[in-house]
Amino acid sequence: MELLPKNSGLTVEGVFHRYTITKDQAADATVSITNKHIKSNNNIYEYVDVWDNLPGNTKVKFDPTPSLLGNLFGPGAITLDGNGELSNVHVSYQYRYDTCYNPLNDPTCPGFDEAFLQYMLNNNLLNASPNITDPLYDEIIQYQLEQQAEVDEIEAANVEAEETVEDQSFEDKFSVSGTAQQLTDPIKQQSLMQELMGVGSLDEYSQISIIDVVTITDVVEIKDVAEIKDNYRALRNLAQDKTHRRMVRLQYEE
Amino acid sequence: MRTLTTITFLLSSACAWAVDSPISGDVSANCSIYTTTPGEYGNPNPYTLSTAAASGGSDPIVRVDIGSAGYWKTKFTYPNSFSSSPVLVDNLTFTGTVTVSSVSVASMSVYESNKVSVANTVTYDHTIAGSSWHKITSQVTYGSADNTAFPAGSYTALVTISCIAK
Repeated sequence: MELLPKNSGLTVEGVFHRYTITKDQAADATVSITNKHIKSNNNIYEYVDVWDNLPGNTKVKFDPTPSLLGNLFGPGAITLDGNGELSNVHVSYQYRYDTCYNPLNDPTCPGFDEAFLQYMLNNNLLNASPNITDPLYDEIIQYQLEQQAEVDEIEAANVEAEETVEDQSFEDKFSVSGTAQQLTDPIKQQSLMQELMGVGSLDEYSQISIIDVVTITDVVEIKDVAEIKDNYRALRNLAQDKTHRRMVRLQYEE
Repeated sequence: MRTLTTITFLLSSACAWAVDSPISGDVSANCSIYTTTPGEYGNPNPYTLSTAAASGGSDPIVRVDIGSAGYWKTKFTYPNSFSSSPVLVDNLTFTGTVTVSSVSVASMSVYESNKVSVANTVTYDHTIAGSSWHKITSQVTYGSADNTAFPAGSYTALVTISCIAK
């Protein structure tokens, strides 16, 4: 029976034990909580309670330990040496599991890239030429193409969805639906006017009187200081136009 | 006179005649008390309230943590009155006990035989660093002839535990 899970990197950080010893106070008794080392006959963990000349009681203790590799823990035992009786015995181990003890467990673990590369090399999975006669090869290629097509479709759908959202938000900003109806509602208009009157904005305007104390006089006088000559070029053009119109009318009269 | 006043001001602003230099320090609690199991009265018959499990109650258990051995005593006072209850017109008889229910060090088991009990107060001398758990029991009977029923309502009694520096 395995005492602790055999996961690599598991370390025991402490041992909790609770037991009740029933004994005469004058009797001698020693209670030992031990775990054998998996590779030797020695104990990897040992805790001893000496109950000599002590009355029995319930013992509760959490014994913190330096980090001990869990896979070195062998069978455990709680034994009573002397006169007395143990009951309500409970021993439990607090352990910690290092999830990155094997870097391949998680891509976020330090050293994952190197470990993954080594794994590929060890299993001849790197730089291996594909066997094109293998029927699975075609399936793999087809699968990859389908995967790429799905990715493209998803990306296109996302772009379209984003554009739709942008258009909607633009329309929403300039939307007056509902607002126009409120503006034409006479009740709304009345309440709006009452609110405006309530805050006194219009009152202030109505109470302000403009006093005419500023007289503006014409001080600028425009005088003819230059002689204005006739525009002979324009007059000549007008004369030509008149001649042209007369010639055109003559054609229709004839 | 004006000159003398000016000189005094300059001296006092340039240096101090006396300085209080603080020395700070923290003392962590060496005796701590925690309620690990709250108590509850059961009502095995109309005139008795008891924390015993057999009576439907629950004995409160208190843990005492001692950081430094030999400097602390704890005093437990089990109830001899209700802190809150309905109006009671007849006699109440309170009984109780305090015992060491668990220890974190085997040699703490002598605490029980070395405790000092006076009336409803039990005092322990914590000569060993570590934790000890203390169970308190309480029982109340109502009526002079033990045959008067408790009025219906909520009853509360307090156990007082305190650390006493030796």
